[in-house]
Amino acid sequence: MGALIESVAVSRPGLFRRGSVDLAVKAATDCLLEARLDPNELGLLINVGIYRDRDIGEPSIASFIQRRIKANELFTGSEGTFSFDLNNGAGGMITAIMALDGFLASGAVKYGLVVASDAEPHPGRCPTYPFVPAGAALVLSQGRSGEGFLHFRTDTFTEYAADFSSRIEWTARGRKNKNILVVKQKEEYARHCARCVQEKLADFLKEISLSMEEIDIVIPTPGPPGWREALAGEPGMSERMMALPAEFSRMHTAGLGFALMQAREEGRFARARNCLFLTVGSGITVGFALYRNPS
Amino acid sequence: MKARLEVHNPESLSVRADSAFNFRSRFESIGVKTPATRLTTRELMADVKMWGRIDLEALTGIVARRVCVGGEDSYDLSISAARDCLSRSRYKPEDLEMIICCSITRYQDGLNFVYEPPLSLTVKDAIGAHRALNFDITNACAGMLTGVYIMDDFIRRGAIERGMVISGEYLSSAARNAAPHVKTVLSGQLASLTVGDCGAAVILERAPEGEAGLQVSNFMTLARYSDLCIGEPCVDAPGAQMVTAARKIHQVAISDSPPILERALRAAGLEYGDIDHFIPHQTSIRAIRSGGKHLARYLGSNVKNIVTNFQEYGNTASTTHFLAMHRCLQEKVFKKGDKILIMAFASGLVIGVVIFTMDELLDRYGSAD
Repeated sequence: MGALIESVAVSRPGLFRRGSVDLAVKAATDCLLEARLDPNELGLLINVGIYRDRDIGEPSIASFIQRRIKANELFTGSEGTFSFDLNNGAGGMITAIMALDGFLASGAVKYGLVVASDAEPHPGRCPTYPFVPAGAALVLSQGRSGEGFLHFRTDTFTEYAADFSSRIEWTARGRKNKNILVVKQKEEYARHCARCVQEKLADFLKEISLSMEEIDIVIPTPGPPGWREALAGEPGMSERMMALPAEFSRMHTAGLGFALMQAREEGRFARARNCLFLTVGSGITVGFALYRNPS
Repeated sequence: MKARLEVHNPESLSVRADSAFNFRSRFESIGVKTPATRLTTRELMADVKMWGRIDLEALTGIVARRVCVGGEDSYDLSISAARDCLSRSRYKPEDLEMIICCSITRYQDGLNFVYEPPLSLTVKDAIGAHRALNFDITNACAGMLTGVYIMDDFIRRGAIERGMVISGEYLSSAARNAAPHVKTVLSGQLASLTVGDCGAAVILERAPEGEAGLQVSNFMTLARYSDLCIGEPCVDAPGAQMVTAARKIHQVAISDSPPILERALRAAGLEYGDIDHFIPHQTSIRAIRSGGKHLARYLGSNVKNIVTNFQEYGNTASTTHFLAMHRCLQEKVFKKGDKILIMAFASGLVIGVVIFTMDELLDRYGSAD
């Protein structure tokens, strides 16, 4: 009884859609429409986007998204919606699903929404910001026995913690100092990400008692650029891993949503029984999740 | 160092489906770290040039707060609080299976706000909790209680047996940055002058069979009010600035929370009058008094004791409840069997309730009871 994907939607900037909240709201709204779900039925809303409008730290960005999609804005005496932000780098979406899974399984929550979106906090002011703006959302419900997300695993490799870092620093900008987002990425980051996955993939497959041949599709986080290519030599990986446009590699937390969306559009996701979600992010943190499509 | 955590659903693990959700969690140990430097309200107000006079100490009841100086930051506060927590615990760092960092502020190396890697990764590495799954969450002043809400669920479903929720709040930059901008009592940055710095950590563990454990319920976000308090990087100084519609946020918290609390009490099979100690968010004397009165009027009875510690520490955001609880444990205010009610009020607007019965947690603080 794992969390089941009801719907997925993605968003890119448009004429009146530029910031991280705009992108998240567009993806969330489309996702709810596809699931034919009243926003008031959402019990949990988890935002895993990291780079947000104006670098707002309080309240949660999730609360702004909840307000804009009109999910239980007020307590009416029945159930409410609880929102918060979760940060686990580019792999936050799988961590959020893992957190949501228990609430769905216990019946405490009937539907949950995981939203990811990133945009440059102050457009044009952060020269080191490497990501393209993008948003993605997933509606999840409780699956039947043997369906949905059945197994999660996370490994961290702190020896590579300095490979990718981002922080707001008080930095000179023109004649004045400003609080500016500074992102640093080492050249070896992508290669290290691939190496970390290679080190733990066999363990994960052993835990789920499946061989690589029994995995029908691998849905990865698209970035960082070059990491998927570095992993291609892994036996059975290249034919199973989604081929994604180069531009996706420059997405951050929403990237996994875009990869899933493409798998759905190509029909590969629907045809697959065993899906392996594979995430890499700062830390270095690698995440594995087995998703089994309903038969 | 490598860490690993697996979360299995019953079908993929030899766990009987009916064994899931039979567990309860409880607080095993609480640790705090407050900076040594004490800044009085009078000292802080010396930098505020207002039209007319305002006695902030009389208005809020806050006499002083602790503030980070000389390179102390969220990271130091988090690690020191985690170590204090472990020093009272029967667990070692390597026993922890999950670490959630929950602070609003994530300052490291002074006032550099860290996004990635998550602060929880750095903290778990520093304290040696190498097995633990880690992630950060943000939910304003409800951060630590949101961490408890999430970890309680992982323990209840049997995915983990114990973990630590941590927060290191270095908020005083918002107070320093507000001082030159506060000109009247209506200033949006007036509430920034009430904050103080603190680190807190709590270990949650699986409660022994038959024990009631934590009753974590009715966490909800009344998102209509999400823009009443906004914290972000300061435009003209290092650190943060915070703009709050203080009166409005207080009004809606008071008017909207009673039915939510009533529902949580009903779920726990309790009346408001059964509660021995109520730990609210430590904002100001006026807010706590008027909120307490309103709750008592609505619920038809009153709690035996409302815990406050804002007088000496100010509003320490997400650490506020655990700082207050830690102080009560040290001062032996609680007795075994006491019913404790913790209530979150936070920007968002987030309301949440945790109810538990005081147990052997007391023994870790040298109580004779």
